[in-house]
Amino acid sequence: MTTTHEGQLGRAGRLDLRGVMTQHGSVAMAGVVLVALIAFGAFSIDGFWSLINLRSNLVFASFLGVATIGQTLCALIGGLDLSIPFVVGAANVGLVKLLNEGLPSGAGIVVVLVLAAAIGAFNGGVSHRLRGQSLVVTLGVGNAVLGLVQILVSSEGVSGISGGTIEGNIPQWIESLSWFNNSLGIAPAVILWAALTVLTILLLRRTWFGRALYALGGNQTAAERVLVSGPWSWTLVFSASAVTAAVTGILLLGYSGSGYAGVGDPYLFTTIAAVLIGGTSLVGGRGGYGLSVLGVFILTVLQTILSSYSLSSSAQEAILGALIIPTVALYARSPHPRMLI
Amino acid sequence: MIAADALDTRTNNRIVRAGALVVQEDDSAAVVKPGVASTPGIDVVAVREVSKSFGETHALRSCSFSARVGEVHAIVGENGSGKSTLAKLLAGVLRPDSGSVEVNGKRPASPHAARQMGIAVVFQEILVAEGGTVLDNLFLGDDGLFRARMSQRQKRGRAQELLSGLVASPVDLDATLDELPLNTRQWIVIARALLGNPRVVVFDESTAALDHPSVERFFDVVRHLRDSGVCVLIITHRIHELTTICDRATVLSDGVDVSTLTGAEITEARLLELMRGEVQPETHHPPLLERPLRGTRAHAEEALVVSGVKLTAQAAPIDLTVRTGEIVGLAGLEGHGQVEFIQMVTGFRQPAAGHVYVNRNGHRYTIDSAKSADRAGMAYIPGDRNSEGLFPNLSVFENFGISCYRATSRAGFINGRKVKKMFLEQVDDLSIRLGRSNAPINSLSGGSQQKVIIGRSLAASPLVIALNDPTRGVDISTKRDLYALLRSLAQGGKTILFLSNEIEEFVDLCDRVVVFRLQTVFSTLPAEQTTSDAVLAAMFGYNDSEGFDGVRR
Amino acid sequence: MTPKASTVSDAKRSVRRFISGQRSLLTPSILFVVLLVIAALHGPHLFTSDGLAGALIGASPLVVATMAITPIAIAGPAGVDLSIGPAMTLINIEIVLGLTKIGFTGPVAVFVFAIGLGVLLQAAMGALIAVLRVSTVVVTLAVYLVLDGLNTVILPHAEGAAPAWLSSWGSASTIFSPVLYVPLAAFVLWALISRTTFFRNIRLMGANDKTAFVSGIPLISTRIGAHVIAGVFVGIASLMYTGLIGSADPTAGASFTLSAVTALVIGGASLGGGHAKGLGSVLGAMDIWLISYVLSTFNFGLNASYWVQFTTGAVLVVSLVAGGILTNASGNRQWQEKWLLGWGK
Repeated sequence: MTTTHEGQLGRAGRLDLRGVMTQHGSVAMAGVVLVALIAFGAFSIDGFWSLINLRSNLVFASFLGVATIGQTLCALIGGLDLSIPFVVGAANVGLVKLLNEGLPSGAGIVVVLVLAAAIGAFNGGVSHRLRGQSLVVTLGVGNAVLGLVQILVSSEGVSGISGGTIEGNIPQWIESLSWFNNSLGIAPAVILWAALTVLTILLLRRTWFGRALYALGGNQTAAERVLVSGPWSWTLVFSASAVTAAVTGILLLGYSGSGYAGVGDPYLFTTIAAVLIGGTSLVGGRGGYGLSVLGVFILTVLQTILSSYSLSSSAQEAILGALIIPTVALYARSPHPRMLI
Repeated sequence: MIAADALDTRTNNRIVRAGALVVQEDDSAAVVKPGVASTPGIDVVAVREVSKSFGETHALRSCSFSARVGEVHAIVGENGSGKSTLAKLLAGVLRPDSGSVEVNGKRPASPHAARQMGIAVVFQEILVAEGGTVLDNLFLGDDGLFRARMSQRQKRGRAQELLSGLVASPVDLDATLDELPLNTRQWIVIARALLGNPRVVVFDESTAALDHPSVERFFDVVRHLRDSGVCVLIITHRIHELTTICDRATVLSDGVDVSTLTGAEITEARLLELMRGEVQPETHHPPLLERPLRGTRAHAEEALVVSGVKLTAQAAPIDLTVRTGEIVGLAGLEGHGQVEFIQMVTGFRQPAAGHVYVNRNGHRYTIDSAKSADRAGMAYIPGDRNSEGLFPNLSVFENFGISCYRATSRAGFINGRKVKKMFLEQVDDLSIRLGRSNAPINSLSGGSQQKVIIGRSLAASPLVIALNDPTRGVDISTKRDLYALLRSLAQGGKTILFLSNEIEEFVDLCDRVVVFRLQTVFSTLPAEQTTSDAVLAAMFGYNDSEGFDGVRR
Repeated sequence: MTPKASTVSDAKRSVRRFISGQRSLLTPSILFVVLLVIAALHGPHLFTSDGLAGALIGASPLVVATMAITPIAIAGPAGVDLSIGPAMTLINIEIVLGLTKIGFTGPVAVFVFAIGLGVLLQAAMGALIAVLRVSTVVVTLAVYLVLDGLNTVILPHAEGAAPAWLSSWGSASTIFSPVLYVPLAAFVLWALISRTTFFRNIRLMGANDKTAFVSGIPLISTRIGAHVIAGVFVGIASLMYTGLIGSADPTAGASFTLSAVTALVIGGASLGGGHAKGLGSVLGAMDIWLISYVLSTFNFGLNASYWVQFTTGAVLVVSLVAGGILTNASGNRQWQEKWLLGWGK
């Protein structure tokens, strides 16, 4: 490729303010926002500091946090996974069905996770092959998966789906994942999230694969020159995304006690919002999961505050969706064609 | 021939005031006549002290020149001299940072405005809408908002008329552009430019995609335009062709206009001399490094073997054998295949036919992919580091480390200490000037960035190193470091392929220079015969540099 | 003067070219025939006057909606408009609730309102995308979320009644009614618009924006114009939809987006830009509707909606994969530039 050095602004170009902010800057800013929100919540909402409120916030944050692992990884390589809400719902409902069919809970969970991994692998592989069109691909796959699972799960009998919900005998240990009344004093779901957080951050910061993802998100051509495999990376990342979505679906099952196909719906905009608010760029190559964790916390507190003002989940969806626009306006603009001639 | 009166041929041309006309025939006294700039001799293009930068790159620095009605004015210079930027300024695609670009007193503020002003520019990149038809492409931008300016029949008539004068064989107006060869596409772009009967036409390297008979026709077109009073600007580095056609030539070097030659002054020798500028040839040479004696390498092994490689299905096959310790230069006019060749040798492109392999420790490693190239010990330093080499989101250290993380990892985890050690070794070996290693990569100068990229390839101890235009956009001291490095690497037994657009670099650096022409090897010059003139001559298709004196055979 | 080729080979060449130009219509056409055959076997009611009328009103919202997102796909790159579903739902809600509340329920008022609101929404999106040079699919995703949330806030559950003249469309039993005339008018409108030079400029911009730029085509206004055209059809589609269901339904957005995007892809639109045909989108939308019709003849009962969701998603994925297989394998290298600019989503 013979291009003149005139025409190529580095990918950041002069339009990306993110180049100005360092990783530390992002963390600091997110931290400040979080503290401000907590302060605001504490002052304006009764019972904000109550143990019940804190615990439920923490549990919900861990559900969102696990699902956001996948979305963060996808965003880092420049894609987005729109199938997350569908996989959450499918895992949620699918596990109940498996349990109802007599499968032991451990085996059932394994089956669900393996299937999710396969679905995600398909997402990633096809998206990469189709020039990174991950949004449309995952939209199709997600719908197909949830539709199929709902078909398979429902039957004429009582144990089928009605109105989107499915009842079943959920083993207590799954339910107890969201409870705080155990010897540790913390719900296992939160511990799981903490463990996954550590793993993810370690992966992204200290393993060659994690750094390869950043390289891929930063400059795909250069990454392939240093032998980072585009197809493999996309496949593994989207596979991981589907698996974490499935885990979220399972955790949610324990929390609510019955399966509901639409339980994943809010996770479309909340995972994207958490990633954006945390500061990971949708264009790829910048950010990380630590930032997303901050984003998850900010979002959770924000949602608590907004709910106290009687703003429904839908209103929150609208507000957070609107947030995407200024974010891409600041960080994800493309150069004018005149610079590319 | 029309010559300008009282023009300072050294630097800035004086602009003739609008309304006055200076006509000078054969050095006789000037005659002043009032008139609009459609009478031959008046300046129609006025570029005054124009500067344009892109980030750190200064494409044009206080450049000035002017061009007249009814003349063919060449703009000549090496890569990076600012020629194309000038074309874009004239086209209204870019606006100058300072200074002014005026055509008939008005400034082209946008492509549309430029078109209204009668300016047509044919860019280096052949810009067509592939999915559209020939007719659509010709009239692109010509129509009004909702309705066409001309009826379909009128359009077809005009298109036929225009194309028949340009292209040898008839062109189907309803064919889509992706069906047509490059040659025809170039003609269509040229036809599009001429459609609106422009007053100023700029051709930026327009002959690069044309075959020989087309080039002849092209120059006929240019002459015809000139005779009709159009101001024709030809931007090129094919100097030899211009000496027969242009009335004046302005030489650009490093963003500034160096001189404008007129008439008989325009010779290849003079143009080359001006293009190379003030820099002494000696500064291109690494000081004090001795060239290894030829004898010691006579028994060197074959390191890289290229056998029967065809760059395109129609091209002639290429055979090349490079021995250990050799530095082979790759040269050619832009678009003649040397870039594709180096991409094939390094596994990033598939040849239409043939094989590439590396001999290593007695084994033969075929190269047919990036991975196999890596395994074979082939390293590739890409040409455009911004788009192919650097990770703008990563630090200096990581830009280096990314290539060796995996190989040095333990259970998937990065071996920070080892990578750091390798990094510091390369920083030392290559004398990279850096501040903090975790600073963002764009805090380094272009030359230092290039060294980081080279360093990361060297860290893997490759056998063969292929560099694609490594000194582009790099400062002079880094260039010297680089030449010294290549020589010492070769001495140490590495094999080097070195593609460059700066012909001087080959001299005294390469053991051979392979010159590409029309997608295959045209000739190979051994070190003794490697002079700038000889390489240039070969690039233009002349085997014997003595025959290359501006007279076309 | 160049010799003209003989008229016979000229004609042959133009016929051949015409046929190969219609290649993208192959898939939706074949699918259409196959589905019609299955429908004839399984649900012959479709071929009665009543059935056809039902098909017209049932399919036309999706058909017009797919036409709406077509100019945006043509304008490229990665021009997928995810907001179509919630946008239609918003207009639907406002027709049923807003307009009736202030008393403007006459056909003219409703038409003007629907189209006006559609144009407004699209123009705003188009301006954002064009001026800021941000990815179309990401912006439309944001608008999708905003409108989806907004719709549920305005109207939590399906309710309300559309103006009588409009809801009568839903129970049309003969095809010679507005159920036919309005879509026909939409087709005529499309035919007129797609022949303008402006539309051709949209296509050429989608094919190669650099070329369009240097040729003097105004990129920003052309893109906004593409969105405005889309907005007109969004309004019409929403009108048809309101007629179909006779009330307002805030939850229909998600599945509508899926259906419209799938229809677009089946119809042969290249997501890269520049290639999409109105006829392809129409065929694709009819295919999607036929799929749901055929599924409805299978008596899936409560599972009907799941089957539709599954099938639509699966068809989208299969079409994408099939389309991807047909493009050259080395396409990956070429998309890197656009991908780098964040447009690959």
